[in-house]
Amino acid sequence: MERNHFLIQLFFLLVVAGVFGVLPLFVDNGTMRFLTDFFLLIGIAQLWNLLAGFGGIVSIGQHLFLGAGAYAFFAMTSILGIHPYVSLPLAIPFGAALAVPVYAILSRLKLAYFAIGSWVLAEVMLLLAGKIPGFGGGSGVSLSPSIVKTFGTSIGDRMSNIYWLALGITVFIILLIIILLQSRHGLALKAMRDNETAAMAVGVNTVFVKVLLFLISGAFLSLLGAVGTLLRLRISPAASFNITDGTIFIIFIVVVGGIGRVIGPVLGAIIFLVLRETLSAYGPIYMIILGGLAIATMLIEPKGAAGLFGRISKKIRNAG
Amino acid sequence: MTIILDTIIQGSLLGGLFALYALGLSLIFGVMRIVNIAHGDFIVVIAYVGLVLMQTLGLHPLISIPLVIVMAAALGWILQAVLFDFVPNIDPLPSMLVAFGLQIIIQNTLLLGFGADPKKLSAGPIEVMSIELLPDIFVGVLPLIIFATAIILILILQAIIYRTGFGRQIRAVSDNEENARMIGIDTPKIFRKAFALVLVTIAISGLLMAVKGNFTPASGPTLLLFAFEAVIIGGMGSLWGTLVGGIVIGIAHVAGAQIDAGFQTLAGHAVFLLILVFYPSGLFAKQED
Repeated sequence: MERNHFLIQLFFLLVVAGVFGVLPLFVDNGTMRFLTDFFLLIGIAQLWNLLAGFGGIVSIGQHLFLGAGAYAFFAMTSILGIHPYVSLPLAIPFGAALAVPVYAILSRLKLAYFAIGSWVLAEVMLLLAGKIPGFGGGSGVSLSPSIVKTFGTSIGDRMSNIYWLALGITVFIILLIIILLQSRHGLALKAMRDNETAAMAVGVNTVFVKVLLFLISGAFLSLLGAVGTLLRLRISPAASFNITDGTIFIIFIVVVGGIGRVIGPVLGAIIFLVLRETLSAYGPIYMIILGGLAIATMLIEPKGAAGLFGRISKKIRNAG
Repeated sequence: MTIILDTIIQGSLLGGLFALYALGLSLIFGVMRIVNIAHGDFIVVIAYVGLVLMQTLGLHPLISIPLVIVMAAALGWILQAVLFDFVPNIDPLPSMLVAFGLQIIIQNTLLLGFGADPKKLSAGPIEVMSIELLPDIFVGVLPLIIFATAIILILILQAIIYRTGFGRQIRAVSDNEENARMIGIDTPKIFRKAFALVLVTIAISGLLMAVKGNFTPASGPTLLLFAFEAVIIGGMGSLWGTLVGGIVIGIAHVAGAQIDAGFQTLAGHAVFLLILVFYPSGLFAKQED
């Protein structure tokens, strides 16, 4: 049953990835940009869900890794002169290495205060980013045209390459998560998700699992931050370390989509983008609706849209 | 020498304000296990309430404190009764996410109603009055009032928590909700009262914050971080600890500002992180449970 479930997930993921993979041949740049955004949101949300939904680690500071990844990418390409296609994968070990001291500091905070502590750290990184020389200070700096052009000389080429990068990375993250859940550690994760104390009692090394999750999340957030910079074409403290895009919208996506389920962030990202496309012209009202929806989810169906679908399909099955 | 002494005195007085922010955060976590991410935004709401009272009724912000306290207490009671009562509190995540939603709603409602421009409540001549505390060291009357308020509020809260029946029930619930219920304590009622009490501290700190400096609809998170740092430095659950934590952060801010205006907040965060690394459970931690 478990095994079958895993194979179905895998099959479904590869089919969807294949369909999205050929899309750039048919759609315009605007659509590609929109979908790239969609992939990046799913990727970031998957990593937040991996921490909060499975590891019980709630962070409000994950934009720290996105920003650090963006700045590291800039440093590697523009200052050290490393080829962009080499710099991108290097963002992964960079993020993992950064996650070590971050976790070491934050793990001193008891469970719930971890979240606010992570926010402080992200704030510190944002303030520091504006002060390191060579990165344009508070207003940031643009990527040089030669670096941007490595990804394609025409806008169309570039968009498709960034699109495939974002799609590939996000699919890889999802793949990694479903393989992780399928593995021996996955059993530990599911046990932790359901009851951390009980998991510890039956011999799950919760500390090891948490550190592992935090490293994975830091590593890939850093990579996603670097890819996001290709889309934005510049780094700046306010945009690269943006709490609204990098953490607030992401928490919304995971909560509304369904925390603790791999499908949750995907559903959440779809809901989020539908709302954004229809309501964002209304500014603050749009945000108020997002906030209200997050609260309503916690009160009505804490498992989000994924939980709601599960309930409905069970009802239909029972009726039939 | 004078400049060092001056930094310490001015920083300590600023710390009184941070301690005021921190008291409510410490209480709401200690009693209800809510990690109230919207804490700073609640403080900002009060600042705007003060603004509206000043603009419509012409009330001086310091005179309006009693009225705002009553309103805030009612608001706290209602928030618990209609919202947090219905949030499962098996682990801290659900209530934290509800607070997260509240934060987005508060910030954007304020933005809608008042715009993004910074506002400030004017308290009149008292704002610029100062006295010579020591030779060549002048302190503002307003910072002194704020600091004194923090001390008085801590004394009152200590008295409530350790000397009254309500305080005994609060302590019982905070130690173990299940057991408290078993010995017949009406826990939902205690939660509502405690939430009201938290909002009272927020009312006082919000008005004083609004008189002391500028605020915008987006000021909340910064206030939350200051409050949080004061709580952690002081050691969770210790009311006097929050005052010490506030003072430490306050001195760091004033000292950082001496180096460069841009270093004010950064210095505060840096000191917090250092203390977190070397004294993980704070300087005055309550007995571990």
